[in-house]
Amino acid sequence: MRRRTDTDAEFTEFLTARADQLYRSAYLLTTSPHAAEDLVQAALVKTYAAWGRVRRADDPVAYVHGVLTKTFLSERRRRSSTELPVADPGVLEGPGRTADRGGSDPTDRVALLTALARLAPLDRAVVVLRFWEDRSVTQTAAALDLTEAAVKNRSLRALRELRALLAEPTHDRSTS
Amino acid sequence: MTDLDNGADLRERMDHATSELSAPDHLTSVVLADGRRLRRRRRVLTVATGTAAAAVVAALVVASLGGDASTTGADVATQPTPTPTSESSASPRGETPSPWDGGGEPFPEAPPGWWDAPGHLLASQLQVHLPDGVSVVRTEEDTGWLHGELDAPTGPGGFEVILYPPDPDKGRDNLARSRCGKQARYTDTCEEIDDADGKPVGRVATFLQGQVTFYEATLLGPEGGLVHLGTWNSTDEKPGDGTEPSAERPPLTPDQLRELVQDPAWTSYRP
Repeated sequence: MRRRTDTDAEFTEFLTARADQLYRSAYLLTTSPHAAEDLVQAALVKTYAAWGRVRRADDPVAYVHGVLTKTFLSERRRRSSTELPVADPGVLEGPGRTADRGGSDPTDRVALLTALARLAPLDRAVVVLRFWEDRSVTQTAAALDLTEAAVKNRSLRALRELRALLAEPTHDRSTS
Repeated sequence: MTDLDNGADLRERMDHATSELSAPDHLTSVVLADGRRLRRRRRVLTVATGTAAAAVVAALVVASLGGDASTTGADVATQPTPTPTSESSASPRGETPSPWDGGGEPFPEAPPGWWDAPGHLLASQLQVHLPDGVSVVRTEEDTGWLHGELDAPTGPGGFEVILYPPDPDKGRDNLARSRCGKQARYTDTCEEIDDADGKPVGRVATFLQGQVTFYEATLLGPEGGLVHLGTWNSTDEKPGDGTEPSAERPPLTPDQLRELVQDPAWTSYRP
């Protein structure tokens, strides 16, 4: 039997390596720092409780990202993320740490998250899996229980909608 | 295919917008604490099922041998049954000088305390303290955790009792769970419960998820632990969006929940 400390050390190592990326995915899915924290926490708690199975998976990282997406779709909280104050860059930083690497613009983030929040949750999940996590159409379809045609349709539609929203004048952004 | 078709522009934008974001510092400790709790709950359920099966087999064997299975008082075990996981042996209980000193482990388990009250004890306490006309239909039980269904004149609904141990993050998680204001996000109404000095020590909150109404009450207990009671008007295992309510309102009112959460019985257990 594996000792608890071994499991914890292994899981902690995994979490340390992957937490930031998972948090960013959760952030894009939920468009809210607090909801992202809740989501990534819920997904990782499930992962920890099933660590024996996760570590034996062919691709544990993909497995955990799958848990995150399924948790988002099945257990998302009652309020849609559009109701949250996504236009406030201070709020957007939320509980996560930020390390200024000079490459990120809070205003840009507000605009992107505001636009993402306008998409239906399933479309948002398609966008995040396809264009952020770089999953193939086949992988995205499997992860979301959709047909490949549905993934293609949804991603094209979501892309068009996002581009239109992001091209809107900045009066939609409260930071302007 | 152009960049506009393959979403390269969007990917770049998402990359740019999130590149400086990092997961919260306390994520590891919270996940390990909650993950252990979830795993322990699953193990307890497994062990409970196995124990019940073993008891049935033992009873059948005794009956088939025609023996007398009764024991004298001296034969009855007076020590608690050891926990069937390796976790308790890895972290001897009652020897830690401070709640979260865990013998050098970076993320120790919670120390023993009233939050370890067995689920059957919580069920008994709930039965005793329920208002007239409200009864327990079924329960699932675990250490510091009770979940199930109540019946009331207004109709059936769900409920839960969760006893939170002191949290490792300087008590901030439990403090947040006991306050209104920005910490009580997702709530529609929130009223704080004050102690005799007027200091907030808990809250009663209500919110709607889909068509299901939830009432929740929390109260900070001794040593940094927290009592959480919840009830809702659904008998689904996971009520939420798309769930049909089982009654017009939850089996208990917010006022009844407020009174119930302040009962000292919840924090009276001694390990």
